[in-house]
Amino acid sequence: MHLLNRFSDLPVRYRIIFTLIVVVLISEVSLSFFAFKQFENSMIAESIQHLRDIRSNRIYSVRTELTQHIQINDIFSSLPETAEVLVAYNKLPGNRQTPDKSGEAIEHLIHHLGEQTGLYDLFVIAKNGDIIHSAKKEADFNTNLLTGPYRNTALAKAYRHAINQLQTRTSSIAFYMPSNAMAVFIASPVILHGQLLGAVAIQLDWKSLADILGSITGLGKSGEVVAGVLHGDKAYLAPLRHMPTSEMDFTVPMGANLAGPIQDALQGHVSSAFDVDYRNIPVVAAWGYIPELEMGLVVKMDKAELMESVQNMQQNAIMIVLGVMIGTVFIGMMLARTISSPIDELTETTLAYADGNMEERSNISSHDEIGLLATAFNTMADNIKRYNQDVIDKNLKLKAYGEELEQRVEERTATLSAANEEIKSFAYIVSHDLRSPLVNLKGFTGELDYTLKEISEKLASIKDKLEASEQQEMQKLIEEEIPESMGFITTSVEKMDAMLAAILKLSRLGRRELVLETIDLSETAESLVDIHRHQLQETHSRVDIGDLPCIRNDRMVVEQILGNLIDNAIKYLDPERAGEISISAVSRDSGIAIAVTDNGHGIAESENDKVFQIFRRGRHTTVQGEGMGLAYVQTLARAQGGSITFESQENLGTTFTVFLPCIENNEV
Amino acid sequence: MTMENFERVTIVLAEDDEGHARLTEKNLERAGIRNKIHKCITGSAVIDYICGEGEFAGKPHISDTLILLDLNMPIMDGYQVLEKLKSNEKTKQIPIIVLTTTDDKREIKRCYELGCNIYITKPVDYIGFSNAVRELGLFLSVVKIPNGV
Repeated sequence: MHLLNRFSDLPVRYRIIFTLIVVVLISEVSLSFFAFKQFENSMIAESIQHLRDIRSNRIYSVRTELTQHIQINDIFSSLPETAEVLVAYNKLPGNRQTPDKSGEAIEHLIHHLGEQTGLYDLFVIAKNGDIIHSAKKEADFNTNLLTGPYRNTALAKAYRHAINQLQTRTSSIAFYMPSNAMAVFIASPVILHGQLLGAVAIQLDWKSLADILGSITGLGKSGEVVAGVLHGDKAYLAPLRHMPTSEMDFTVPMGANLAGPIQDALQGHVSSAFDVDYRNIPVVAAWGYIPELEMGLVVKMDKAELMESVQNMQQNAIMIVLGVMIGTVFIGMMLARTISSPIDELTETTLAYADGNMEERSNISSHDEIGLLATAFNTMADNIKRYNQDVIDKNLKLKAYGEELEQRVEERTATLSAANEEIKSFAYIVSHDLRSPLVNLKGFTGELDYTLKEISEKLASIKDKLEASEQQEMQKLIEEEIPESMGFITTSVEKMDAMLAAILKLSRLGRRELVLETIDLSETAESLVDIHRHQLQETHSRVDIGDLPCIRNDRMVVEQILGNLIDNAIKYLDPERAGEISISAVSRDSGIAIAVTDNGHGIAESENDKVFQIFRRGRHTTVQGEGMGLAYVQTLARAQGGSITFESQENLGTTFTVFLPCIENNEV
Repeated sequence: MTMENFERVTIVLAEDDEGHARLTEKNLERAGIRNKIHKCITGSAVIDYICGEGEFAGKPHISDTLILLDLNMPIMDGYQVLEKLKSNEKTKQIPIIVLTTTDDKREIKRCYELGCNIYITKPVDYIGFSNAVRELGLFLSVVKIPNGV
């Protein structure tokens, strides 16, 4: 499973190549395996058939050779000269050989036949077994085949058979002492007018047969024909290709685990099989038996040589498999490229697009799945680009709005700052410039006072020179009219000075630098209420101070705020009823809301706008005050980001609520 | 120091408001100050007079001088005059009494930082003002003026 996952992680082209290789390899190997097996089997069958053919061919050739010689021997036996010489010999007493005319003729014939046919030797044998003529006149000449020293030779056996059965007889191959060589004999009876005269025999040159048998034509590098005869319990093998022997002196004991085919052949069987030869080397062999010669014949070749071609075939097959493999890989690569290169191309396009290149498009125009995918991708990319553009446009608009807003805020802020500066400079004007004329007004009024005193003194000295009515008039002017006017001037100047001072105080309160400390609101409220204790007792009024917390703020500011609110609450109590004032505080959000509630006159709705204006006082003119209290409270609250609000009902009472935000130490 | 010595001292009255100048003059007179009073209506006129520049080129008045300085003046205000005179080694010995309408603590602090010797607020209350100037006059009569000893 893990391997399968790993496989599916590979690029498409490798997967295609890999799959192709696996499929082709399996089919190729199995096909070539079966083809190879087929080839091997047919090779073996063919080889065995080939060996069988050769075997048959050799057996046929040997038989043909033998037949020719049998015919020659038949002719030899039927020749008149042969009969003549035998008749003559049989007539002689004591069976002695005497040279005569017929004898010369046969000698001549034997020599001639021997030369013509290439036979090793020719014999004329009398009825009693005497060899009366021979071409070579070896040691067997003039010996008796029935009683002589060579009575057990192949020649003797063939002779006996021929005269007993009156048939031509071929001997087996055997070592022939007189010739000191391997030999085959053919003996034929000589019959004249129904009377057995004797026999003729020919000795075949072993070499001529050996040449036929030993030919390795068509047997490759290792093939050979093995001929063997059985003597006693040993198989005697003719000279071998792989064994440096002469004649038939190489033997294999019968029953040994060696040279199975020849052993089987010598038992008269005809067959073919795999076995081991006389060298104990695996061979493929076909064998047969030539009964005339009592000879086994094996045609064989080394299994290794046979298998050599099979191995060659195997090598060729491997080469072909490799070739096809390389071809497959090549074709696979080509195929993979045609499949994967559009995918790669599309992948690259997609990656580039994903990297932010919104202009990237695929230009694959085929009509297959990849082509459809590419078209779909392009459509999608167009859509995304359009949406993106929309978003960008909207963002730009938003940004523009934002900038516009920001600019407006800046403008407003600038206006506000300017206004603030104006207020500050106004405060300065109030404190300096407006006060200067007042100083003069007041100062010169004082000077006038001095002057008036001097005038009074001067007038006293010239009093007598004036009439009584003039004196009275002057006195009235100096003592009443002028002091009255000066009095009004002084009062107005003082009032104006007080107002300027109030404005100046307001301006300073707004700019006060806060000194933070922990303030117990309950304690502060109590001490502020305590100032009015006498008045509260007189009016039977009561102040209820709730459970107020400790806050961190500027003591002066808190005292000013709380003091002004308490003052106002007490000032505007309704004398008709007992005053009820409560002070409470609620912590909320990020600050504290302090509320002072009274049951006094309340504020008429028409006056709501003027509550926090400077120099404004309630309608109840009996109440003393400069009309700055709530303006101070508002300024103080606003200076630290707070606020003041109120709720009121005329004749029922008013609640003023001041909200002061928490002040972090680092802000101050 | 004696009254005779003090009488040699010229009081420079730096005040742009003629009324204030006149009132100050009268009150000083009433307090018994008979010293010569030199009036200036701008800050730069004070500098010219003290350092011998402009109108008073070559005739500086560094010794036997006392300055009554209003803060609110054209061309050069009182702060600039104060700063210029107190930062100059030659003129820093001259006593300067700031006489002004505001009692703003920051202004007072600034004046003392710049080196003013005394700060007196002009009250609107005439009696108060008269008393202040008169006390100033008494004060001036006992104050030690550098180079005037």
